[in-house]
Amino acid sequence: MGDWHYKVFMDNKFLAPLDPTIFGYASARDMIDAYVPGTTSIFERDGKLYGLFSEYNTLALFYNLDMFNAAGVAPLSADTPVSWRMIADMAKKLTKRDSAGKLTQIGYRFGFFANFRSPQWYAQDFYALMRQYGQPDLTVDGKPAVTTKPVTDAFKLMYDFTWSDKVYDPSFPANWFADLPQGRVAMLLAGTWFVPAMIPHNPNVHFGVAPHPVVDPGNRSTYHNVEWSWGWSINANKPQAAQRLAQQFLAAILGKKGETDQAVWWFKTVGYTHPKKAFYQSTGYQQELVKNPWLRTWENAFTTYKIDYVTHNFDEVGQALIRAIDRVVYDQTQPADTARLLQAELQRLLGTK
Amino acid sequence: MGRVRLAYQTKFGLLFISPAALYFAAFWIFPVALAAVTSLTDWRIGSPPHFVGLLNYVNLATDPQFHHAMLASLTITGLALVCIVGLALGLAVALHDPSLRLSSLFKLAVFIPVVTDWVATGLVWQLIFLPNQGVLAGLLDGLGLARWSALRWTASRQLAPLAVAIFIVWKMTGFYAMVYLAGLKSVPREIQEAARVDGASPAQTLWRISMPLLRPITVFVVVSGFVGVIGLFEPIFMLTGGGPADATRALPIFLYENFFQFQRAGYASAAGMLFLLMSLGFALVAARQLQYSFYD
Repeated sequence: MGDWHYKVFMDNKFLAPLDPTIFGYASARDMIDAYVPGTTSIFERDGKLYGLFSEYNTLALFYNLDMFNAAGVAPLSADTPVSWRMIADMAKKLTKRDSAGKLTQIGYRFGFFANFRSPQWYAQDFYALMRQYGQPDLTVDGKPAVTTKPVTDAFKLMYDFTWSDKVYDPSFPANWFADLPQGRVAMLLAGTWFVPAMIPHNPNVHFGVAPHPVVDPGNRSTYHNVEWSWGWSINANKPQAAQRLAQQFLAAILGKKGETDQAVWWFKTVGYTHPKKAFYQSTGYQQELVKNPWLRTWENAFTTYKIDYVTHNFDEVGQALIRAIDRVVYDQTQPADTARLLQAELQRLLGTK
Repeated sequence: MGRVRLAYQTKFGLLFISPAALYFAAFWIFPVALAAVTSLTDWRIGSPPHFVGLLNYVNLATDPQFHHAMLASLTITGLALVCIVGLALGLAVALHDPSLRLSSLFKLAVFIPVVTDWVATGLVWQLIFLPNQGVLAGLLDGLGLARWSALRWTASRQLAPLAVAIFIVWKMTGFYAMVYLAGLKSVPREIQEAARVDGASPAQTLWRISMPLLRPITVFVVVSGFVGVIGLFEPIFMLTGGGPADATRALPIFLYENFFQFQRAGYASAAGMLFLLMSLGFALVAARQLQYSFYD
């Protein structure tokens, strides 16, 4: 299940802790230490692990090289993030209209659009911006804090992309895996799964990958990225024998201590990454890296960015955030007004008014 | 002796209706009763429920999101229902015309959307409504209405409810057209012939003779159409997901989000009960208009 479910499921004791010995580890600490620091935080409670990765991912920028070439835009660095302002300027050159004024391609697409209203994607895009502008969450000490400069600036960036720079249109044709390779969207953020999902129907696509853009490439404090996970877990309400069998099954499909074949298989088959330290050191990963050099961007992200999980997406606060973003990108509501409306809504939802 | 036969028939009657009665009790009465009880609690899925009396109903009364959902529901339902009744009647009259050739083929064409799947056709309607590149945009281009082809059917607050209503009308009109057609066929031929002999035009025959006799059918279409449309989740979820900017966040979406996404089972149940009462109230008011006799 998605990482956003884990708090509720653990609060209600629906999940059984994973038995580290079944996975070949001496202790839960040993098991947690086998993964890149921070990545397992969503599954942890009282020093135990209650889930293990089906998928772990962060965001990086995919772009269509043919569109870049046709527009005379130089490819992006695979190592150094560029600023959002640069993305907007490039996107202007990559946004095209036909003689009748209709959009035929857009320069940049956020992860949400007319037919794909995923709370996860609204939150991922917004949280990365908000954190880059300097605020970790929509609330401070449990109280809504969205009329602040970082939050307003995050709304402003979305506003500018949509209405000032006109490089993003939420109603532009939306086929997530086809629009970029088929030349309708020049740039978007996605995870590693984007490639195996895009390639089969578009084998000749020329794409590049760059690190997640940041507010100010010269200021390391703006280097924030988001992470998300889908996890496998054990139902605590099943009989002990069934739980044990389930744990053995998970160990078999996810790999025991030091095993990396499974992680390689998951990556090769569906593009899912498992942030196991041993995976990044394995021969299988190195071979994948030769075939897919863009994969390095994700590995580098661990040292380039401060990476955190999103706090609110599939809850009432996340829903209020969707409404706020929609006001910006559909209704052209000014960022400050949007922030004020969101503040009032969060105060009502959180009972702090 | 007669009493014994009656009891015997009653037993058989009960036996025959028992599957339907059990189904109705298990899948309609029981869930509604459960929702009624749940609506009086603060139950969040995963946490034990506590009795809170009418607190959920009080909160709903002051919840702007609930008010908005009610308005969105009534907007979409109103738009769809007016079109469904008008189109169904028009199609039924056309299909009832004895001079119509290939009438079976036309009936099939009218009815096919009814038996299609909401999800599959929802994906198709997404493509139909795409601005500029969509099927509708292409059609408008072909008709020389190029400036209309950029309309954001599912991505503008103003048009999205209409887009959902159009999808619903396309999907449901066929059923009600068949209901009207059956009604038209049941209008006594001698009354229509008498009207024609007296010099009534086809339009006058329809409006002065057939329509009054079709009143019970119309009431049925309006009541069942209202209850059917206002409870629809799939077309909204498929086409707009409740957006943009909540423009189509109707009651079914509000219930779904509160129950499954926010785990607020008590609150969602209270909203569901109000939803049920609203539908019931509409049905009762409409049913008061029902005249059972065709010959009054």
